[in-house]
Amino acid sequence: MSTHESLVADPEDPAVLGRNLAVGARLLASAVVFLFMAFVFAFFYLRALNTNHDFHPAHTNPPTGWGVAILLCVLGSTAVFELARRALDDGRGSPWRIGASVALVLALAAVVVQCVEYYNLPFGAGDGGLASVFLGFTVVFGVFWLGAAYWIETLWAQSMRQPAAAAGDGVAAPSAQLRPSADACAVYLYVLVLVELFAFVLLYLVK
Amino acid sequence: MESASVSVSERRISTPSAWSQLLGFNVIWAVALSIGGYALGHWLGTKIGMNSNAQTETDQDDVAILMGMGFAILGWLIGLGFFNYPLSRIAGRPATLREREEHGAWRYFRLCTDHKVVAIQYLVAVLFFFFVAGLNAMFIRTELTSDNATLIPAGNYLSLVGLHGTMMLMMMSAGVLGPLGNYLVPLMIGSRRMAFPRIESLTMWLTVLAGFVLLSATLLGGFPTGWTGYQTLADQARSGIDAYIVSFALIGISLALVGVNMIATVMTLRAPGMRWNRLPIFVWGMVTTSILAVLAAPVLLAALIMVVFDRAIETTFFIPSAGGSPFLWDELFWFFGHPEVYILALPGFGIVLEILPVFARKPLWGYRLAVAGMFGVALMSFMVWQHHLFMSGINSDLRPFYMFTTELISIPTGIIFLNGMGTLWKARIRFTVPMLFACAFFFNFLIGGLSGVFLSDVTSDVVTHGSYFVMAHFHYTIMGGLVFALMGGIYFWLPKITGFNLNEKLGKVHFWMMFIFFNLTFFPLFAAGMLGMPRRVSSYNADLHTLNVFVSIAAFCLGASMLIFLGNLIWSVVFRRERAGANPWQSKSLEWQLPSPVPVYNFERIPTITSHPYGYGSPEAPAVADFGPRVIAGEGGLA
Repeated sequence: MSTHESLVADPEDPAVLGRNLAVGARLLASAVVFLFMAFVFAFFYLRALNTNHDFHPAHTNPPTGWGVAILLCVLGSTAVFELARRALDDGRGSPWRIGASVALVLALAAVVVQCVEYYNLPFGAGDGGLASVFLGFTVVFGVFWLGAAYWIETLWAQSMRQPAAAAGDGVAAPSAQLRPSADACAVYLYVLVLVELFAFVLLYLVK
Repeated sequence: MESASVSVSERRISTPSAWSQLLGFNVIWAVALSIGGYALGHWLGTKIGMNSNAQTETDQDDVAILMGMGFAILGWLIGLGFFNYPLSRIAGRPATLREREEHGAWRYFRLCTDHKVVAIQYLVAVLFFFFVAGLNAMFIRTELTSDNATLIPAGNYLSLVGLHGTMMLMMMSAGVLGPLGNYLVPLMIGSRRMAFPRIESLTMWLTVLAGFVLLSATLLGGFPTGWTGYQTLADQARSGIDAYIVSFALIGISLALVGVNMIATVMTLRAPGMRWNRLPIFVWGMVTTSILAVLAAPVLLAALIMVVFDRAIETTFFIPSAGGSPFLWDELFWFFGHPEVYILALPGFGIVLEILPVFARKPLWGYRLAVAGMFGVALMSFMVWQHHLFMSGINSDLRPFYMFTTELISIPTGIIFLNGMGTLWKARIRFTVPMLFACAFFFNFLIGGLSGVFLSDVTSDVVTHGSYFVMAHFHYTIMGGLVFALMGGIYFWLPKITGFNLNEKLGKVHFWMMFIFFNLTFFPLFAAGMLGMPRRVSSYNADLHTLNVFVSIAAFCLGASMLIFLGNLIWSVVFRRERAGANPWQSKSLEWQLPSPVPVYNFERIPTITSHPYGYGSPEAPAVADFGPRVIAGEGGLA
């Protein structure tokens, strides 16, 4: 038998895609939270042990200015994306495209600022427990944040490729596909924002 | 309840020519690109790591090896075509479901989004690595026929034990979720596919890669840590530990993604009428296992990232002289490690509780209790991990709490036992091969569970910790539990998967040999442990020599029983090819109402589920589903 009939809808049925993405994004967010909880545990565990009094040597203070800049980029990206998503829900294609592109730029800016911060750190990787947790947490967050930027880019690119998709006509399959994906992406972004907020408090304020 | 009607594309798809398949994305290119990627990554890593203190102070080149492995992973995924879709999405193309649809053998050697193909790929991979790990066990038992290291140097012996344990744990984590979960869950819930088919395929190919990366540890000097990777030992390890880290990380990613996919599938793709209280118990087993996988595996991944950072960029997470602590690893590892035990056990519960009603011809006793028991086990498995640290790094005031929670977990486990026994009570049992394995599961797991109570108790754990008592205990739970259940599941569902019957007589020979020699291998090891024989050491007290020779002979016979299974599998499926028929066990479950093997599209029309699948013993029991003409629902609807 060299041929067969397919009964699976392709491109993917938007209703099914929406349900899958909604559940999948929440599950992914749960996994991400547990991953970062391991770093939070490491922070408190090593801080409590303070072996050799080397958890937080005097010079290992992450520069707060850079931390604030990263936080603002992350918060800004998420806020702009949320506004853009609402525009998409309302069927306003142009604000969606502009908003998504601004969110993408801010998301990438967060990664760039993080890299700049690494070059300006007053301590090295081996300078105690806090330095280790700081580097581990921020590098892994950066990777997940890049994943979020990728997601935003695919949504933006899809609406740029087929502008009707963002016009919210409700008939074209790409339009129907875009909304559930944007909703799921927003869930993921919210969770990453919470993680970043928590990281900021922990790594820059509590120490 | 009714699903929305959606359009369905029906089209005829040709199988590409052999040449185009050979030149396209497939495992051959994946192997080639991963080897090339390793070479490139290693070269780059050598350049980067030249000024690193860690590289100059030791003879290890962790940066180069880790970068090599990273690039090898990239090459592997590129070769298989996993980057095509993400790149097309960057270019703005809309979401599509399939990479490619075709028949023929080639689909087993590439990214394929048919859940049945992925499941068979998983089954072959898992069995292959299971046999490799089993071969390691044979080497271990061969060495232990002597009370002093004779065949294998002590350091290599430790690596061999580590390789055996890690590979078994890694592969058995995927052992049921991968092959049986992926194959059966869509069929059991009335769906044509998994929620995320590409991710499903990705998890399979990551698992395969993880197995080979772990095997590469033998070329890199092995690793002296066992499967637990304790940092006090890992710190002294040569580069083989890098293979352990990368392979376990791949499994961690794979496990978490399998879990996401499985839960999403069950939540969103159930057929109309498939209410939660009609889900087959096997599906519940998969769901609870997946919850553990989604939440526990990321913690392992985070811990492994910390190890990579310690080895490659000189952070000090686990180095006590610089503000770290090796106990941090123990805590994080066992936060994953104990739920991992139930990632292995819960699928076994699901399989045997699915098999029992079919051959007892009685409804599953206490269906809701069984589901509650599974959730109880899943929930409590996150509250017991510190019992692994009773002898190290735990505040002694915490011991009673973890002793209590560990003993408490026997209650939901006991409930599941009661479900099994209640189903068998006053039943007219057909002792087929799957049923024999299901019954043996309860026998073995009971011994494993009861011996676990001794280990949960602080005072007795102090005596038995680090001895063969622990080793016997977890072999009773994992091999006596999961592997027996998996074998039962394979004998039960293979006729559905392949369309061919396995030989019953050979199956029974396999079962009895495996059951008898499993018990003769591991039961005496409780005594060896109580007499003070330590784990992971190839020398032992001469008084225990006879006992060990006896155990080794039994272990060889146990290994031989696996060869009978393999022979039966190959002979029945490749040579004898006796047609199984659609429903050889007269099961009422949904998957058995389909032809064997199952067509590519599973259901020509999405059925409406009308009953739970355990209506045995009552002639008035309704059919499980209505397959009659009705609205064509493209992907299954939400029940």
